Amino acid sequence: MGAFVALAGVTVLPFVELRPNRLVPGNAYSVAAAGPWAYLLWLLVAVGFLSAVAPTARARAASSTASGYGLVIALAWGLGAASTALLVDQTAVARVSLGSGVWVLLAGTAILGFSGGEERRRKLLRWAGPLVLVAGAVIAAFVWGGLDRISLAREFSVRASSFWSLLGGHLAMSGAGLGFGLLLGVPLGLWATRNRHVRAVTLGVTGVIQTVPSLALLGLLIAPLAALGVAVPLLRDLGVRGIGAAPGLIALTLYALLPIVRNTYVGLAEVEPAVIDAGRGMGMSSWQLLWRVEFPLALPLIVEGVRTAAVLLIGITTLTVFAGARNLGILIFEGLGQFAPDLILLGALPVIALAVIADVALSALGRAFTPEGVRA
Amino acid sequence: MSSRRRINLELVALAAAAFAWLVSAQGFWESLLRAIFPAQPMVLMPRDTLAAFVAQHLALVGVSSAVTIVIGIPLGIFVTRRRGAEFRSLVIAATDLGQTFPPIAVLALAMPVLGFGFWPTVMALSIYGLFPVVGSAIAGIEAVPRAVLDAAEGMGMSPSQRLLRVELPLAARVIVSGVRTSVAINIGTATVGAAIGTGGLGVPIIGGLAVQNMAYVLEGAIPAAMLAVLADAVLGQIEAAVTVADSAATT
Repeated sequence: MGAFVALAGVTVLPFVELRPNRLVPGNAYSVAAAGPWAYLLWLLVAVGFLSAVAPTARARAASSTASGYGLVIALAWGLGAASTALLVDQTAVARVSLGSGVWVLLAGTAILGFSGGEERRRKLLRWAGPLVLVAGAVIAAFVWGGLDRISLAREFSVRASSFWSLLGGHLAMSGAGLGFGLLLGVPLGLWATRNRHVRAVTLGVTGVIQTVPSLALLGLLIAPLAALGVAVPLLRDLGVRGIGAAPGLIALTLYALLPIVRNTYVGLAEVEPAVIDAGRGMGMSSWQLLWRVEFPLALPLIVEGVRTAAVLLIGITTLTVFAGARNLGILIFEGLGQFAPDLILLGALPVIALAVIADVALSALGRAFTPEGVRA
Repeated sequence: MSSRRRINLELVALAAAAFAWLVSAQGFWESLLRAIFPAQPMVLMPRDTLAAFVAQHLALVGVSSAVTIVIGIPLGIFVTRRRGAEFRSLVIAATDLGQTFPPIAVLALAMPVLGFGFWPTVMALSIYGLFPVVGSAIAGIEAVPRAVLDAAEGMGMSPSQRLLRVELPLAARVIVSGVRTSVAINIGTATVGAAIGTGGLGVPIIGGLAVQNMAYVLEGAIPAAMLAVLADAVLGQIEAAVTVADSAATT
């Protein structure tokens, strides 16, 4: 399956596109532009096909894993070679962009890598070795293989200094929204377990907020904040204006609330009464009970809520640029405005990477917080 | 079936009618926004009427959600059958990973590959909408208790009868909740589609922010929020209607 997808990527679809400058469309070139690397890509796809017919399970897993990792390395070097070859005799503003074949090939590679390592997906250490190898080979392709000549890398080098500050701005914005969400959400979730009316109101209101489109919520916040800033100069000096970090941060905090409140509530409510009775029997005060029994047992679910919120916020943070915040969303929407595909990629790929990293890291944290006795 | 809750049809129809009337009442918005922003010379975006913005938005969401449902539910059913079993873990991994991708980033990425305008956006929304629908279809079908399936088999049901008369009715609630999630995401992401020239309620929001006209922003934001809440309520009613009560599942 993965091999078929990868095959489609290296045969029918364009590998790279040579464009006279960064904005206009250009001519598509097949994988042959990568010179000798094309043969290696073909060979690795063939190895991928072996994974479907190999006699033993170990051989199947080995061939799909080998072709998966190998394809990533060969792709990086192949792209470098193709852009080096195509850019000879071109003007300085000519660009070599990734063709759709590259994306399809990467999808096939992901499927191959996945089917090879399925049973040991969770063993991080087993992954670390090959991952370091692949990352090293890709970095080497940047330094010696000409990968720095593809358009995405050029777009990056033009904006290298602002890129890192936008990335930092993105992390700060999402992180602050998540922090405020936690500060508000956990106490609200706790309160909801103690009071039926609070539960109905908080879960209902945060649920409705979650439904409202993020751009609309941002718009609904900007207008009143602008009015408030005009009416009360002191607040304006504190940063409460229609445009700026305030509306974005409030919107992000509101979006973070639902998953955090809901999971805190469910986590605390699902602690078995027998466990609480046992704690009480040991002479714990209700504060000790909460701190040493209920919270530790609810923690994995709370972390799960934080994970959902983090992934959500990292995406929505891009929209706060419409309210004047500075983060990776600037690259995405400037790219969309200029019809500059590689600028869009430069903004969108790191956003996706951040979301995936947050997802993996917080899932691992949730597992680490699960007490030994209740681990599935 | 008597055990099913009735859709609160009157309420849903009333809310939908009120929404339709409200967005077509151009004069109402004009006077409302003028009252809030007396200093603003233009309070409604001249590019289109509000009703037209709503219609464009509904077209984007309607077409993409329809595509999502028509492809997503059968795909979910397929991987839970014996013939599709080998794709099951792959599809689940893809839907899990896909849902961690921010929808806005996916929409933005679709542009260099698919192009600008209505249909590329519909395609991007449809693909992204698949993740929750496929995921919930698989989860719903696999949550049907083994004993119920055995009983159905014992009654002499064929595999297709089991699917249509036992598995799907029992999984319906979870499947509809996946559709609900997917529609909510689509309505939200479609507002961002305005940045790539697809029209819809995002046009006055983004346009208003660009020219610092808060009246335009509200012209888009209020109906967009109402539309999202209304769609969620309608699908919530459907979800309640297809929920099979426990007694029906066990008898």
